[in-house]
Amino acid sequence: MKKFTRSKFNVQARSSRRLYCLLALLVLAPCPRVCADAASSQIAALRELETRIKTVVAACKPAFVFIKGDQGGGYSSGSGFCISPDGYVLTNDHVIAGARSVQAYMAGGRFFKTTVVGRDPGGDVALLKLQGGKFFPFLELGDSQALRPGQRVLALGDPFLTGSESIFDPGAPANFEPAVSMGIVSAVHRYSETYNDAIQVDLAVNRGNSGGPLITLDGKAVGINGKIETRFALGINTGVGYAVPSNQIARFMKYLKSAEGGVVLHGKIEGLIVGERADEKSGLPVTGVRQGSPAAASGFKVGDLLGSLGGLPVRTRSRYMGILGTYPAGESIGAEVLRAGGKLELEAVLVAGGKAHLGIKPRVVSGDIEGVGVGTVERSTSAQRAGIKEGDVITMFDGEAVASSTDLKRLMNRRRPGDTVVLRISRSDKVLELEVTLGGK
Amino acid sequence: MRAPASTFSVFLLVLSGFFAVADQQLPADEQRPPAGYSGLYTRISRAVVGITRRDYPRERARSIITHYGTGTLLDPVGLVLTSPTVVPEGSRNIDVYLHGGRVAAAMLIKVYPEKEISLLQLKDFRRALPPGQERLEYLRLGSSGSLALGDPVFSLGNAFGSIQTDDQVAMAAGVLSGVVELKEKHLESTYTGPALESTAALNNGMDGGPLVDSRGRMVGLLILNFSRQRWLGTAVPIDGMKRLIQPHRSWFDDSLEDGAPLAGLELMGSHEGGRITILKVNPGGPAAEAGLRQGDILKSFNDEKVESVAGFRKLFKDSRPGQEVRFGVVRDKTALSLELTLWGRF
Amino acid sequence: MAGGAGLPGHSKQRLLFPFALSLVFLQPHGSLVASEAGSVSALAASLEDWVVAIKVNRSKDIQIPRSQLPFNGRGSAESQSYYKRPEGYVTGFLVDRHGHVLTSNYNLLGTIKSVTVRLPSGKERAATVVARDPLDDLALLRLSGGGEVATKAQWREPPWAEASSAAAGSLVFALGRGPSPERMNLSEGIISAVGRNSSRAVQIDAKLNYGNVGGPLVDLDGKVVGICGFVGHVYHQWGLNSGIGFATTSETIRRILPRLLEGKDVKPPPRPFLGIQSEPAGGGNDGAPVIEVVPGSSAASAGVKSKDVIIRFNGEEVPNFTRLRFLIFSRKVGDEVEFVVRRGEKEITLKGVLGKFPERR
Repeated sequence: MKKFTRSKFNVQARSSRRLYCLLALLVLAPCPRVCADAASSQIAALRELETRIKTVVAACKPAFVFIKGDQGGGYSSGSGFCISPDGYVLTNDHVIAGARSVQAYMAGGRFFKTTVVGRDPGGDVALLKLQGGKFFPFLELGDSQALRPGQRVLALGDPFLTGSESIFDPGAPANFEPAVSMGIVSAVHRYSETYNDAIQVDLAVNRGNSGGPLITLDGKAVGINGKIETRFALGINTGVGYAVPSNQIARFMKYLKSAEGGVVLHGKIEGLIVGERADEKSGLPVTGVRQGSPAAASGFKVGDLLGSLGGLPVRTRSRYMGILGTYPAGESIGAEVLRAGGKLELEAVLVAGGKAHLGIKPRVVSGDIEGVGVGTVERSTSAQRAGIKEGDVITMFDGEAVASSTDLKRLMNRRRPGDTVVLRISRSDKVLELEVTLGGK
Repeated sequence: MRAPASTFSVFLLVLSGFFAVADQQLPADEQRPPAGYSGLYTRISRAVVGITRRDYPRERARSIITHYGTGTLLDPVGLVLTSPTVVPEGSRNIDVYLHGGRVAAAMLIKVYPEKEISLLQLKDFRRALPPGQERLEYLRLGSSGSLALGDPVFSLGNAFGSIQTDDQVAMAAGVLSGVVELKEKHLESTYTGPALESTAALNNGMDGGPLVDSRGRMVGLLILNFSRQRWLGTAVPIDGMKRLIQPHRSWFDDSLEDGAPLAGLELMGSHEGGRITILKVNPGGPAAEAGLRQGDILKSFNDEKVESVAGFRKLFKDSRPGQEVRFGVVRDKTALSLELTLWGRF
Repeated sequence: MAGGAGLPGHSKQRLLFPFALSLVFLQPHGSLVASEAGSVSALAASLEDWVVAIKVNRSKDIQIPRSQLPFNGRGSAESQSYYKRPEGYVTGFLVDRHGHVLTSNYNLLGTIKSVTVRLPSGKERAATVVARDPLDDLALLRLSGGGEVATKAQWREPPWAEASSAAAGSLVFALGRGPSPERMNLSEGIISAVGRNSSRAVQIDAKLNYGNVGGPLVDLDGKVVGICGFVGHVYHQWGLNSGIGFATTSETIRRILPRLLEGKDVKPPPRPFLGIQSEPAGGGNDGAPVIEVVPGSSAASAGVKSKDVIIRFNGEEVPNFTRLRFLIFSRKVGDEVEFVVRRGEKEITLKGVLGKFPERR
């Protein structure tokens, strides 16, 4: 009994202390929960994201360029971004195509004339250079191959020209502030004509965003925004946009820089035909190798199974074309093939695809000269770069006489883009020999 | 005074431990700062498939794709959820495109038009398996009723053909924007009723695909319908669909508690004196692998006589995943005894 | 885990303690009915009392000429209806306890027969248009029949944001009440740019549509950054949900609301005028060259001479005339301004008062 009484007393004492602790716990219990909640809450996480975005935007905005191309009757408008302190600017080729001159505006409304340094219409990229300034703010190019679907990205641009034109009050001048939008990478390595290896994004990009940078949260440019799909309404974003990846641009850079305003061509493995899809996890079948072609010279054989190209896995023809689409003509590319159970490493030198293009519109020749009269010289073509002028008469093509445009066509068909030919030109009383590096179409 | 002191110190210890535990409970993508959802994409994109319908079987030279859309794998052996706008009643030449460029033929097993559901089964899921794997990746089901306004949600699928052309499941991010009562039918969608509205992009080809929450669970079926006020992507809420879907996953059930056993078959009891027939043997499940077949008459389970479906269930309830059990059946008047190892909740 | 019945009291106490502890651990995450503290839905809920639904009864609506539509308006059934205002509730924002409701002017375009406002309580009241501000796409309604929507004690002022809080990259949410007025809808996004519409609006990439135009734009602190507008079939250039959206700022609203409350429409303010002729940006970035000074203008009074080059305006760098025009336009008629000109070798600071832009005939 005594024992019981004592223990009962102890129990009571202990239990009341325990009770106090219990009460304290229950009262305070919501506290750690709330604290943990606040610490792990949606808003707290969003605040950190917001700080990061603002930092990236503030760092990248100064490198943004509003591009205006003088088209004669009006202006083509788009976006661009500076990629070096001496003023190289990247934009989409379609923003400046056909322009006689290109102007640029940067932060604070500062205006610059630009030169078109090089164009890549096959990949919808153009390289410009800002004139008349020094030490421009610029963006670094990031690694587009490291992008993963789901990753956050930002875009800077001028959608519907809200930054560079006055859209509310026609009299009011624009403040030249680019618009930033946010979203995620939806998919990578999307293939379509021109956008062979595109980054698909769901952020808002619209007309006017073309040429602007796709930026990761570490402030690097991983692409140029240039194309969108539309659904209910024309020209309005529906959450599917495409960007040219930075790794492709990096590969073209040295060619663009030395293009002297001309066009850089994409490469292909001439003479190689592949199947549509890899069967059962092995490789993309090589279904044709033309005799005497560069593909044959590189060692490809019918029946080979292509496993990787340029170090990247290939399973479909569109991916095959997609990888190639990121290479300029003149580069070489490694290919891994399976043949008779063994692996082989082959290397192919890429040549320009497409037909050779001179860039003149022929016209009937007056007088006794036999040759092809030059009516107009197309802008940014090999003819223009070589110095051919309206009124010239082409009399010889690489040592062969040309009497008509049919002759010229026949001789051109034998040539490939990138070939150099010598044309004899008759101009007024003079006879000139001009060297022309043929472009592509 | 030692007792309270020690109790209080335990209390403090527990408090501090709580902070640690609370953070560990968050899956990777909910940690800060959210650089994105690439982890989520990696975890769940393989459970999202592209679906095409062709005029002729794929092997035929002139076969062309007439429709494309998206589907979601709901179990490890090839049950695919999609929408009748992708695979309507009577569809043939259905192909399912899985991760890594694998293509597998599928058959339509059921359409529930009121919830805009079509259920497909891969004809031979083994051909769709990635090398070295025995089961397909599938999506868990979440709870549409637990979603709050502003919660991150994601649409995944075959946007403009991204899966069948580029082997890319496209993902778009948004938030739960609202719940709308759809009254009109737009495009080919036939669903009316309450729908989740989200700001995650929904485009051609994504119908039939999943709307997922930030934990990677399916909370809705993406459909083409929309409200003319908002023109946003909508999804049929998963909660109202579960009772229709679950029977087709009858041998794999998300709502099962941990430790519940699975055999992978459906039984049908007959009114005439105690005959229990195996109605369905789920392809790829343990019963199928053991050799049980549709039409077999169930006689005993673990050597105990089975007289009714309820009776079988009672016996079955006490078994455990991994346990070896024995089914006694009669097939074509022959008695057979088949052994199998029970699966459990994955 | 619970202590079982029949155990001695001593053990029961022992078990209660860890049981209570386990309660702490086992509280469910993400329970939905009440919004979790620190969640986006709680943020939205905190604005509920001010966000109203509006029903507008029209006899005729504003039409867009077919020629302005893609395919001359002959697209699919869906794309055709895209450019037609749908029926149903639209959104508005209660600004005082006397029943004044701000909404997008777009919501009140057309020939209106009647307007009904549905308060968050569910009560519906008739309302009339008090005044409009088309420049900012705003309009003010007042609930008819007088009376207050809340007592002085009940009423809380809407949480308007400070002018400085909005910046490019800020996370924002657009709230709306269409089509289901019982529950708010929410679209997320960021501020794409500030200083739009002559610094009266911000641009956002949140998806705006018929269901949230006229509603508040809220930041992470739960403050109202602005009222969303410039969306709807009339703004067909950027359509719906395009990621191009605008919200007239709280700062602008604070400025124009008194006038609207008086029943006076807000007209575009007179354009400010300095009074110089210059050339558009085409040269370097070394200033705006003055070709001619307009006689009698504030530039003339300030002492600007032809061949001066304006290089600074109110402390900001002037690289060219395009920029100068924008800086002038950001001010108001009557503002005192200070600018620096380069005259020959010297830099001279001049002061003036901005005049009114001369009417064109």
